[in-house]
Amino acid sequence: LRFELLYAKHGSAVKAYVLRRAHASLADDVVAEVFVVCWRRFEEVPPEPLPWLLGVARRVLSTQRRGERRRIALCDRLAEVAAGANEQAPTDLLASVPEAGYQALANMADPTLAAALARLSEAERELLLLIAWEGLTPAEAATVLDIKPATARVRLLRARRRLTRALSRERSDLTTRQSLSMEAPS
Amino acid sequence: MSIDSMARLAAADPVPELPAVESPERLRRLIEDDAAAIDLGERRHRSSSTNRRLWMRRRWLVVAPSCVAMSVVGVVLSSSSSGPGVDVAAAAYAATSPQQGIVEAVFLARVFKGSQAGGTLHQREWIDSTEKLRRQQDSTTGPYGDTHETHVLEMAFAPGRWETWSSGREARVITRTKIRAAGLEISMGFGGISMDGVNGIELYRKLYREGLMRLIGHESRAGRSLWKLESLPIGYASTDHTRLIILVDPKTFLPVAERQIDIALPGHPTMVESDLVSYRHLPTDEATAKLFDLTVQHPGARVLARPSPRFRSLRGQQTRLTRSLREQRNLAIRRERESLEHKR
Repeated sequence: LRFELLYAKHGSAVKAYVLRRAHASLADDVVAEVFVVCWRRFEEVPPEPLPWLLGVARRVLSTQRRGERRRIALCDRLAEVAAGANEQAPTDLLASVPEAGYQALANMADPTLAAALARLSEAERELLLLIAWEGLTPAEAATVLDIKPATARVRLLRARRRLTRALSRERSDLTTRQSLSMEAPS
Repeated sequence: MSIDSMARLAAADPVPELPAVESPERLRRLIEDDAAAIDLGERRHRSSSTNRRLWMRRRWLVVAPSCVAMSVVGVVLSSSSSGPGVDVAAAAYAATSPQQGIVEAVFLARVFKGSQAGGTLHQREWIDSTEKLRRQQDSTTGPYGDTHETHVLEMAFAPGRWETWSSGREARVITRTKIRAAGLEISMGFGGISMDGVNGIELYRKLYREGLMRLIGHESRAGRSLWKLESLPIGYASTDHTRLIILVDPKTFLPVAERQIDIALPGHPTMVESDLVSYRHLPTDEATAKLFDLTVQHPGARVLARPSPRFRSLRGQQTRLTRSLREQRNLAIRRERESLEHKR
């Protein structure tokens, strides 16, 4: 019963986290996998379970991404064998698998913000998104990322500064591009 | 400025509202499979005889407290206000006890995992407890190569004999085998689930008599809250790890659905779920008496008498009889497949 209540209470939040970072077709599978892990390790679930669940979801997504990259790499190797050693095998497929957090940027409607976020490191970006989108406190975000709360606070401060700087740089780049396009002969 | 950037980030949330999640049913199935996988993990360590001995010792350490815990749960469930108030397993046994007349049960079974996944079994079962008669009709549809084929198999059990009939090339023959030993029960077995292994009401009753069924809680199904009974994860053979789950109606105590999970083959758990489509009592009269006679049901078929098997002990008789019956069924299915291939 406790488990069912947990699922009813936090299932949607976990699904929203997954939808922000992965393709919609994967969401239900990932959520199910997260709660299977939760059922298996039910004694380890803390009293405030959401950050713990999001931490599991983060690892499940990461494992899935690694599996997908391995599968594509294997396909490439098989294609190499099929095409013969002399011919160039297609390698751009591997690049199509997004790195952690990049899927979230692809889903964003604001291109300037997406470009500014892309300038940050994966750890900084994930921390900012956990606070802005999941509504977690720095201490809760630290649980998700498996780091110390103090580390999370310092990293958050640095990440905010870098995001602000990246946004202003993106704005100036945009202005420059617009003025160049206006000066260019038609 | 940093506040602005965070506000802008929050406004760019691609999922502003919490999405709806799936019903917990699929999750429950995953968890049951996961439990099966955990059991498999334990079995993998039984490679050497030393490990096996250790496991046997440890198993008692696990089984004994589990049994105590189950008993406590059972007592709590039966005594608490939210519990059933009655022994659900016993009530289900009583509800399915053949009274005067004939019982007819119809099941629809589906295979969800395993080599026969996607297959369905339509099973009808007639029981006359007064005359100790039973007939079972299995209509199996499943994937055979590129096609889905349907195969019908019938078995009739009576004191001193059993008869089988199957569709296809064997349809003109009813095989009758005499049983000399008194008190010999015929069981299709409860280990290594296949479509042949679903035994409907009889299987539950047999497991209950052996003290293998227990109440573990309740489960919602199609908006109804049903009592959930589960067998111990053991079979008749030492290698069997099959479990039977029965969902029981809280008012009539009749089984609404049965679920079998077989984890005997590592990495390939099989799951069969069968729904009780109908359950009714028929009067004993001339017309219903014919239900148990395969020669009446299949008038064109001739009876082929098989010599009575001779057995040394009752236990040996049981094993060999079950094996012989299984072999007979498998042979009939194989012949029918060959005949279909030959026609093509």
